[in-house]
Amino acid sequence: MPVAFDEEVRGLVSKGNSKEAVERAKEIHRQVATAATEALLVEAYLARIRALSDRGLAVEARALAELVRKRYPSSRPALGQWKAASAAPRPTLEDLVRPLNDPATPPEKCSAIETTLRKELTDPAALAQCAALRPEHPLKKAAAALSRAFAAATSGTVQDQEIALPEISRRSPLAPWKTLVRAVAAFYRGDDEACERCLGAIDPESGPARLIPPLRALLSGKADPTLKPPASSLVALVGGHEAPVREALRALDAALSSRKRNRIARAIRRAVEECERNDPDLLVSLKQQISIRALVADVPVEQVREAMGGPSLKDARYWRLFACAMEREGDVLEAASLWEEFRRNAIGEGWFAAGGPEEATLYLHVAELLRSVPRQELEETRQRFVEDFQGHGHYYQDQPPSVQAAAPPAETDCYFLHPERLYERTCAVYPDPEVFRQWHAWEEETESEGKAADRVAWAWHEALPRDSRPLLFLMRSAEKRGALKKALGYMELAESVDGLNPEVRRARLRLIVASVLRHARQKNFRLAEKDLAAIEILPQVQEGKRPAFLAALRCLLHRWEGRVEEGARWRSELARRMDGEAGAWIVLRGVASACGTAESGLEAAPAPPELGKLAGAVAQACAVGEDLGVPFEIPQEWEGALSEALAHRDCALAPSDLRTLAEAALRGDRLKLAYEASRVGLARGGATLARFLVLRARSLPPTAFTRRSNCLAAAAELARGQRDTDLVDEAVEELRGGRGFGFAPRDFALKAEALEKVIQREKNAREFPSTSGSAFDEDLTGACDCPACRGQSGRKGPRAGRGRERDLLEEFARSVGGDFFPAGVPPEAIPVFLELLEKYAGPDGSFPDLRVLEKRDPKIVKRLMEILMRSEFGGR
Amino acid sequence: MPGGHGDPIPREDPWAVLGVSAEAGEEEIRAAYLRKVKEHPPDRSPDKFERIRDAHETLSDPRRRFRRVLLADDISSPLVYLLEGRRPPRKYVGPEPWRAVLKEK
Repeated sequence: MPVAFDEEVRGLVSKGNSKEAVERAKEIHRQVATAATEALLVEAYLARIRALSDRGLAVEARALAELVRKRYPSSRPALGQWKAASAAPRPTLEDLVRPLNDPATPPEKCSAIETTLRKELTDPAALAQCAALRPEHPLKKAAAALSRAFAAATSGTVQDQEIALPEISRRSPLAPWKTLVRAVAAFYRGDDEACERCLGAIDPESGPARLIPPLRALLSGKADPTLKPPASSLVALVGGHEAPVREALRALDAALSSRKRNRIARAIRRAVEECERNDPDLLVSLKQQISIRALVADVPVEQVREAMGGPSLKDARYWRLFACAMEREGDVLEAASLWEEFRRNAIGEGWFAAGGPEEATLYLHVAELLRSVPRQELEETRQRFVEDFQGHGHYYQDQPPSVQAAAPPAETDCYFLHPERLYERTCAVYPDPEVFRQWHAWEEETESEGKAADRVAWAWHEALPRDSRPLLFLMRSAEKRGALKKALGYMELAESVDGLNPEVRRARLRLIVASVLRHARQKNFRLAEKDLAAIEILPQVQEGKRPAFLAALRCLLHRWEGRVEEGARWRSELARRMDGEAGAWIVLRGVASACGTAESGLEAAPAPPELGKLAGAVAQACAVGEDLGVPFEIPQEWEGALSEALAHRDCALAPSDLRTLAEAALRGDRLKLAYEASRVGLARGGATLARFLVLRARSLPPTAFTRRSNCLAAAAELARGQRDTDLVDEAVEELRGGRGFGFAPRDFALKAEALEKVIQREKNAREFPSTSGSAFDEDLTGACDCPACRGQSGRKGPRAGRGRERDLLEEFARSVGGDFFPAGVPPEAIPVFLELLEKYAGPDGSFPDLRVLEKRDPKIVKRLMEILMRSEFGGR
Repeated sequence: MPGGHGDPIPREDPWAVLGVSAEAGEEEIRAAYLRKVKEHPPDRSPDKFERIRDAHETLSDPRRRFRRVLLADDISSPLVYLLEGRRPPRKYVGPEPWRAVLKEK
């Protein structure tokens, strides 16, 4: 063997690099394989075994020695000597530190002792109590302080000064302990970053480094299978076991889905036990969740209570959870009553103060919840609910005194079931114009005479006197009642508040126009002329095509008073102002109709202009009427030509004209024409897309309510993006039941993907949906039957109204037996069916038996049966 | 009034978007908003900026913020959601279990 090899390996050993020495010696022995190389390898192995032993890795050292002994018999004498030496008793702590008492001990020896202490000390208390070290020795004092700090940091909250340990310097053998104490304190303080920083600063060779792995496991919250038993036990004691709780909760979820009561009870028991054992802080909210979920799953209260080992805490959190659950179940009135319990408890518990914005938000939430129910249904169910409602006082039995103190009074004012009273409370707390607007809209729908709506508008005006909108509402209401003088009074008030507002400016003009028309209807031409003169001095009357309206009025007044020539002059002026006969005729006809005279008898319809000009002329004429509050209708005889003009590829009508046309068509219930106008508007895209989606929704047949909802939700989403709050409001109001069945989903938000799908589908849907047949012949999914959409869904041809809901409803019908779905099923039952479908339809479209459904959801089945029984359909 | 049904709950957790805790006060929310806007200015990351602005609008309006609190519990989620985002309790057990680890050979 070359001498160089020998020197190389020994050199590595002498540098303390025994591991590399073994690797090099193995390599040499593999290449040369002589007795000398084996001796060199054994020598390297012995150095490695000693190194392991010196680092306290006795088990590893013994294992390696055994391996070497078996493989290389020549090593046995040397290994025997090592074994005998290692079996000799190690020096005790006393023996180790005793030389530190002697001032004559050389610094090198002191340093060696401190290095050993740094590596091997596992309990500072032992050093603090070590008799071999004199009491005043700084190391002994520092160990005592450290021991106290360690005990304090592991036993409770500590202040920084308690663990400052100024007596331990960075060079001290106890420095890693000081860092450990800081890591423990940071861990309990919840400052995980600081804890991790401290752990990173601890010397991995030092004694306290043994606590690094369990502390890291505690920080991550994840189990570490490599931890030794004492470390695992520490992690379990300090951090609890999340896994058993998680497992028990999963089992409980599965049990609740199975709806098997005994299985649920067993799972509840296990979940509560695991939680008590491992995560007691979670117990209160877990029990509350269990109570509510078990209630929804129809598990008897007593069984649940027994399984939980007592009732859940009926605090504000409980009532919030309960209310949310009932909202989800669709039990709106119950949810409203539970939100009231939440409100009282939350105020009592200090969640928020009475009369603050939070309370206003809650009132508004409940009001809107109630408004998601069709008005008639709300009134009927409310009456029954109030008759049966006995309050929630019984929930407060067996509760702690603090909760019992929040029990409701015996007599409950059910204000929370009335949107108008909730709006009133909201506005009293937070007079917000938007809430006033909603409240006003609600009252406007409630009664035809509008007294309540006027009271709301007046309250709105009093609360927010700088807002002109309530005055305009009051003005319109008075105008509607024919109280034009009163209306003018409100208008003047509005002018004093916001004279520059275009709506207010338009209002004065409109009111005087209304006065002219009234006088004309009364054949009081003198007063009509007087009003007309008052209009003509208004500067705004010269704007746009307004002079055409006045020309029509003048023309008619002259004709009625027999001044034929003057009449003819104004008739020419009208034609000039409207750029042709078509527009002029619509305006004249509309004004005459508003004056109570059928002008069609006076003047025959002119021939419609060429297609390219027709749509524009009609739109402009309708816009004149809309502007002055006298909506004109589209002549029936021109409807076909108009549809043709809109379908023409060169139709270049401006979006505002398209919108006017669509509105006029909707006024006359000409859905097909409105649909056509919305099609052209949608195809244009751009900023008016949301507006045309609303018009598309309104132009759909009333039975297409799902498609309608999709269009409105998409419009609301787009308008929200454009920050067009008026349009958002309009879409939402429509969704709430402006038309159709008054059924609207509560979450109007659409995801980007769904939004894009609705837009594309509506853009592609050129054909007006069929309205023939029963309500169910309409495609309720809203999926269009255009070739593109059919291609996407893999359908081969038009579905002829056989939508998914239709199939599912028929499946449902079969499950309940008999001829359940003949044509003419009441439309108000459709939302209930859909609710049932959503909740209980299996993935394959199957339904549970009606008896099962009745047990699962008695309220909804009862509601459905009541609707069916009330209707003609049910009576059959 | 913001916070009504026509004003849907943003799908993202606004507290998480701004990186503040649920207990954060107005000043903390505003500081976090300004910090985030600096990190994601509208000209460089318009989408992120939009999310940050929405989150700030939600949290700076007490009614919107409260509406999120109102509807915080989702009864339809699996029960394990109770454990989500929740740090297990850290119990003080005294020095002995810690010493046992240190003494382990």
